[in-house]
Amino acid sequence: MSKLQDWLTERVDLGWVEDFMRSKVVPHHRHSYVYYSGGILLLLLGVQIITGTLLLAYYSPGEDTAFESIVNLVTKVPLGVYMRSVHSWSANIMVFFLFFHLFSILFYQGYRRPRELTWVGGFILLVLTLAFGFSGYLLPWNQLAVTATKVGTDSPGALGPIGAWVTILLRGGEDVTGITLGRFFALHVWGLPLLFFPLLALHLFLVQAQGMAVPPKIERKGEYSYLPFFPNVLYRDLAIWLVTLGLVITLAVVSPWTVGEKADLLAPTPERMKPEWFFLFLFQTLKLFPGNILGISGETVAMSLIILLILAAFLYPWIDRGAGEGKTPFLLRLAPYLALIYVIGMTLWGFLS
Amino acid sequence: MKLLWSFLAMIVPATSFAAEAVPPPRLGSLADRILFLFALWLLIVVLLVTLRWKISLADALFRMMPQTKKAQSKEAREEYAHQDASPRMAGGESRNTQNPAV
Repeated sequence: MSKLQDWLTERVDLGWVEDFMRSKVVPHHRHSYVYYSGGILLLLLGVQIITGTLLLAYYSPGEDTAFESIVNLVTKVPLGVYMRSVHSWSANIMVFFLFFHLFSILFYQGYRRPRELTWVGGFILLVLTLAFGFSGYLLPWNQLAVTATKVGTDSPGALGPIGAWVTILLRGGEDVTGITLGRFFALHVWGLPLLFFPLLALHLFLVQAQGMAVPPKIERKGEYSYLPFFPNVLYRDLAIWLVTLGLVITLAVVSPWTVGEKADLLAPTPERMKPEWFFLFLFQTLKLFPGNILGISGETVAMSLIILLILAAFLYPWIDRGAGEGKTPFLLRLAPYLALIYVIGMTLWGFLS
Repeated sequence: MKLLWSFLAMIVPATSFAAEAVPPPRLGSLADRILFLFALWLLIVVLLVTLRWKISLADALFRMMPQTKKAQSKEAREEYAHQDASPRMAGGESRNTQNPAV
C-alpha cells in the first residue's frame, strides 16, 4: 500500500487533498442535523447515475419502442423492475430532500453574505432537478406520462408568443408526439447533465471554500463548536446514508413502480389529471385563478405571478440584505414560513381535490 | 394504421386484447422479498451499531486532543468563523495552517 502511495505521489502529489481532508471542519450545534441533507442529496444523485446508466442499457427511445423496452425491462431482465423502482423512488426522495435543503437554508439564513453565489447555484440546481423529473416522467411512454407532459408543456403557452414558442420547442411541434419523447430523452440523459454537473461542481467548491453557515442566532450566542469532518462527521454521514439507502430499496421492493398503459396519442385528456406531487402546488395555484382578470387571461396572470415569485426566491440574498447583521425585516423573516405552509397546503389540497 | 387501430379498439370487446396485456413484472416471490428486506435491515442495523461505536470513539479522541479545548474557546471560534467565511480564492490563507480545531 505504501509502495503504491509512493509510486502515485511521485507522479501526482495529492498531499493538498490529504491536507484539506485533515483540516476540514463542520460547525456543531443543536441544529447541525440540517447539514446532512446535502450529503443525502449527493448519495441520491449517485444512485440516480448508477441506476440511470443501467436503465439506459435496456431503454430504447421511440414512440414504438419506449414502452415495449420498459415492459421488457420489468418482465424479463433480472432485477430490472427493482432497478427502475430504485431510480424512480430515489428521484422522488431526492426532490423531497431538495426542498428540505432549500427551506432549511431559508430558515437559517444560510444564503446571507458571503454565500449568495452558493444560494443562486443551488437554486438553479433545484430547477434543473425538477426538469430532470419532468423529462424523465415521459420516458416510459405510458398514458399518464403523456397526459402529464401535455398539461405541463401547455402551461408556458399562457405567457404569450414567447411561451407558445417554448411549448413548441419542448414538444417539437404542436402536440406531444414521438418527437417530444426524443427531445425529452436527449435532455434527460445529456442536455441537463451537461448543465447540472459543472454547476454542482461549482456549488460544492463554494461550500468547501466558505464552510457551512451557522444559524445567525446560534452564531451570535456562540452556542456552537467545530467537529472534524474526517472521521467524526463522515461517520455520521455514512449512518444517515445507510438508512436512506435502506429506505429507497425497501420502497422499491414493497411498492415497485408500475408500467401503466401504453400511450395512445389519440385518447382524450382525462378531466381529473394531476401532475407529479412536486408540481402539485403550482398546478393547484393555476386552478385557483379565475378565467379572466381585468380583461387578461387568468392563466397568464397566474403564470406571470409564479415566475415573479420564483425570481424573487432566486434573488432572495439581495432582497434580505440585512440578514448578515441580523436586521431582517419582520415580513422577510416570516416569508419562508409562509412559503412552506403554502407549498404543503396547496400540495395536500391538490392531492385531496 | 394507428387511426384504424384506435377505431378497432373502440368497437372490439376488451377481452380480444387480452394477448396485448402487459405481462406481470418479475418481482420474485413474497417470501423472497420479505427475506431480502429482513437481511438488508439486519445488515443496516449491524453497520449502524458499528458506526455508532466508531462515532463515540472518534468524538472521545477528538475531545482528548490538547488543541481541542483551546480551539473550542470563544476567541478561537470567532477567529475560525471569520476565516471560514473568507474564501481562499479571495486571498484568504489556507485553512490547513489556520484551523484551530484540528
